[in-house]
Amino acid sequence: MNHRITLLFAFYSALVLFMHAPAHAQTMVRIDGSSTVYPIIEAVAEEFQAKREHRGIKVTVGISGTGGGFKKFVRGEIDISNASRPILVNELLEARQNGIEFIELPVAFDALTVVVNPRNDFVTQITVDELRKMWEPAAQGKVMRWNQVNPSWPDENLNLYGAGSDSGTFDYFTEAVNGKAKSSRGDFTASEDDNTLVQGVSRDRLAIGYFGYAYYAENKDKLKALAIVNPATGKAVYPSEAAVKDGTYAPMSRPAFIYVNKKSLEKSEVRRFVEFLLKEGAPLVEEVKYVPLPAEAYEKALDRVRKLETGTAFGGHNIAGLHIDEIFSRPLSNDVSDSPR
Amino acid sequence: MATLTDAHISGIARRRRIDLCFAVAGAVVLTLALGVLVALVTNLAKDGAARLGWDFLTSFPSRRAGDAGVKSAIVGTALVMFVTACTAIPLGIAAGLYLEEYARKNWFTAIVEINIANLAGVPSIIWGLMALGLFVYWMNLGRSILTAGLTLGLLVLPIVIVATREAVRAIPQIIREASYACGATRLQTVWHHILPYSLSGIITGSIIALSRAIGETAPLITIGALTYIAFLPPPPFGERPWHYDVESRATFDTAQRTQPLEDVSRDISGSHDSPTPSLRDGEITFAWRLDPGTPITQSRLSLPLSSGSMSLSDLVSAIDADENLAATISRAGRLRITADAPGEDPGEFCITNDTTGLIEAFSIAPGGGRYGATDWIMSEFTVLPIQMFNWVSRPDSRFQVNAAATGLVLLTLTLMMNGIAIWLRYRLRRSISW
Amino acid sequence: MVTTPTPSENTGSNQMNAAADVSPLVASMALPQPLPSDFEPAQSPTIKAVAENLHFHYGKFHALKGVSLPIMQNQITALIGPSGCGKSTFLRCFNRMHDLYPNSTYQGAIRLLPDDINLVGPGIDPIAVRMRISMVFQKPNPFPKSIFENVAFSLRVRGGFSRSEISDEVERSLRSAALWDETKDRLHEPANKLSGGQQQRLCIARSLASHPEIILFDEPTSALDPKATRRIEELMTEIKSQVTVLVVTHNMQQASRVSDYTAFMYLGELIEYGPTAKVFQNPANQLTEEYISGRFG
Repeated sequence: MNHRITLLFAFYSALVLFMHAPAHAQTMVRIDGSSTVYPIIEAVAEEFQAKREHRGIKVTVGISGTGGGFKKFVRGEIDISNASRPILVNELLEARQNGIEFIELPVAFDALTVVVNPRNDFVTQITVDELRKMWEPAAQGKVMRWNQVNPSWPDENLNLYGAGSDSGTFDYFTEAVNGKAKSSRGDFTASEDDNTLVQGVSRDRLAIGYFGYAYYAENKDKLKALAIVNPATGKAVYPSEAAVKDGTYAPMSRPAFIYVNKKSLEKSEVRRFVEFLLKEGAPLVEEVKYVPLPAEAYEKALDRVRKLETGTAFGGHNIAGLHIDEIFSRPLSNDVSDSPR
Repeated sequence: MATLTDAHISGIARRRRIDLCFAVAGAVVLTLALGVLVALVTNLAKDGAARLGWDFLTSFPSRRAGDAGVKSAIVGTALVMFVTACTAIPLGIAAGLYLEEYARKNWFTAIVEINIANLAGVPSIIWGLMALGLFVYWMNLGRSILTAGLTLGLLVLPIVIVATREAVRAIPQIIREASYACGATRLQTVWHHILPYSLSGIITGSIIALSRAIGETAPLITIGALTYIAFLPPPPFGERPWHYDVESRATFDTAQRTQPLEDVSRDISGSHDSPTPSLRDGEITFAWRLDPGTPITQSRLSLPLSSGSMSLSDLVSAIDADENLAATISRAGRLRITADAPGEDPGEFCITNDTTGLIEAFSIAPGGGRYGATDWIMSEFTVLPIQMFNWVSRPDSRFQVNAAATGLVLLTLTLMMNGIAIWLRYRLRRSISW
Repeated sequence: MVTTPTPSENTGSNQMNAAADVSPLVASMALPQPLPSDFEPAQSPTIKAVAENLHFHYGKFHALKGVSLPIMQNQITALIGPSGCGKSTFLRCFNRMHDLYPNSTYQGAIRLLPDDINLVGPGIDPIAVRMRISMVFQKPNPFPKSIFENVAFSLRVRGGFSRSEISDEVERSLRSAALWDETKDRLHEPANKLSGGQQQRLCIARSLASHPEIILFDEPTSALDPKATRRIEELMTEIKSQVTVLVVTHNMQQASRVSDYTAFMYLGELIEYGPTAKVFQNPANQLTEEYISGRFG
């Protein structure tokens, strides 16, 4: 008995002594951030590493969330940050303080999809104004029935399902509908897990909810997507790849970004990963049920990488409903801009 | 003395009825609890069993639910648990023994005791935040297996301490007195008696602690555990595949092919690991110049770069076979390739990389020799609960099946650990009675 | 009857003629000046240890109030008295068992002869004391280890013994404790498979293994049946040729059967001390007589 304990003790001491062995630097691409963007990056990482010429390059992806990813990114701990929204003021300031320069790259689109129960026969399309009537903070405790939003709808309970307040989806939806991120009524069924929302809406005839397109695409038999009336053209548009690509599904198509540390681009493996993503990522984006950017947009993004054009087009603000061409035509800046637009 | 009256007799019946009620209530509650547990496990098994197989256990994560597996997560979980066990158990035992056998009972130990009990109830996310500040940022241990193991170790430390104290307290005082009466010191008493006799209780408590740690997700995500990782930590032994150390690098521009290497050398950017990633498959191009006036000399050399098993001497002879190149091995075991241009001094060389547009001056080394025995401890990792957490929230319902299968793996591991605890307790208790 | 101790190895200011120092005390203790007729001159005892005005406090509780008592070498001294009289407390002063618990304070002295060390003195290491004075407890308390390891333990804590030395000592101690024949074929079996009486003899063997000068018995038979009790009593008589015995007992018959000297304590004080025959047949003190005749206690 005691011999065994002694042995264990000796082994343990040896282990503690060895713990400070230096770690070897590795050929690695470190990625973290949004869980919404995660499936895209996972697919690209998998395909990238499967290529013979990339043997030996290790890609790691985490899901700390957009905010959590930026926190690491602005400290220079990761090479690439996945983000379901643009970089915000605080993050910009911290990056500048730490001397981190970055390249902002939109990589895909997600169509935020507004869904109702399939048995709901009175609504097929909805305007942003109607959505605002339902979701604005002032509606809390007041707008409780469908006909309060639109008199042509029946006098029945209005049951709301939405993303939890920690998610990028919530930020984008509130920005697009209520004009201010995180500004929303609080009396609705909220969940960080979109599958819970899918379950909720599919069982509730009077429900309305929103989440990423992929969740609708996987559950088309249980849900009914609503067409969104484009405020610019007045036309109702269903969520689809084409509608997102040509910019008519507005303002509900949101871009997914990656932010690349400029210094990391000096590492060939990071540069190769980013180039692989922009050159060969489109079919993979589609495979995981997101909408790829138009081919020209990927070209423009590649150009940014080649020219090492740093800065954000959003000035530290979350701007909803921008067309992909607008995103690329807006001037890049490393500074915070005063007004969102 | 009172005699037994009829009232007393009927009282017995009433008391028996109360007794029976309690027994029935207990049985019902137990059945309900077990029923819920069985239902949960059955449900999980029904969903996940189909996916559970050798493929699932030996595949890395994938975007396709059918290809995805938990290889990296199982290895990560096992290694993190190992570090957790190696920290929490010795520290917990030491702390428990100190509090029971050494510390004087005063207000200070009373405060420590209360706090240990409180620590056991601190939400795990708080531990994650603390570990991020302490281990990742302050001690600079990175987002490694070590950090995760230490975090979970701290998380379950109170459980081990409490278990140790309970087990130590169960040893009769008369055994301690017997030991001291033989002239033993406190350490001898602890080492020869207290520790061996309480070991079964300590091990049981420790394994319960590990079963709690194995399911934790929140603190690990906070400290930066990964979700997608398609490689395993380096093994504790064996030879590294050869790799090159980049000595310098700069942006390569075809127009600047004459850029002198001396300029490049100022931009030292660290070292790289196996096997020659930024080179064309199976082929490296050596390009060098000896002084700014001479043109770039190039040589193309085919090497089986993908083969990590190529020995250093084979590599040397492969390079020597090229008429323009010579390879030597330095005393430090580093391979240096030199341009062996006739009539001129051997120079530094650099490799141009057409794909990346980088110019890289480097020497090739056999990975610094063997793997360090504890290299793995600083490696990135993922664990089973994180994979489960990720898959359960994916839109594709086939990932839900993977999540259920992962749940089964986790459940099996927990059951195995508890089985070991029960067996060890039986083994150790057999010989110990007072 | 009073021997001349050899203060040879003693150094420092403590060095003094122990015999000269002790004799007035012993004289005052009503020692048998004319020895009883059944006393054999060959056994004429020397003093092994002597308590001098020993006070002991548990915190504020004054448990021993100036006890002075000689312990005769190679003799059995019994400590009797009602519960709470301080006899166990007194016994446990001899191997500094009280040091295991906080707030214990000794005053006065227990001097171990012939080298004249104050066992309860401030500079004395309790471990050194326990290596010379061993103890057998009220309830048999073998370690949950093998029979062999139980006996070997006090040698192991000392260290420096070879394997064969240890096994020789284990055999000698088990023989001395009359346990060898019963256990020689099962030395590596767990000790707690033995019967209660055997366990207590094992504890005696354990305390003999280190060649102690004094063995303290703290009511060693109170947990045993009459047959096992008799066995232990015989054993005590047998081992007194090797070692000085101090025994606390509740059992008046036991005290009169086995002991050579008896000390009667009451409320933390020594009431009477003398040869057992005298104390039992002709007690000098009224309290002693009442206790012995069962009128209280």
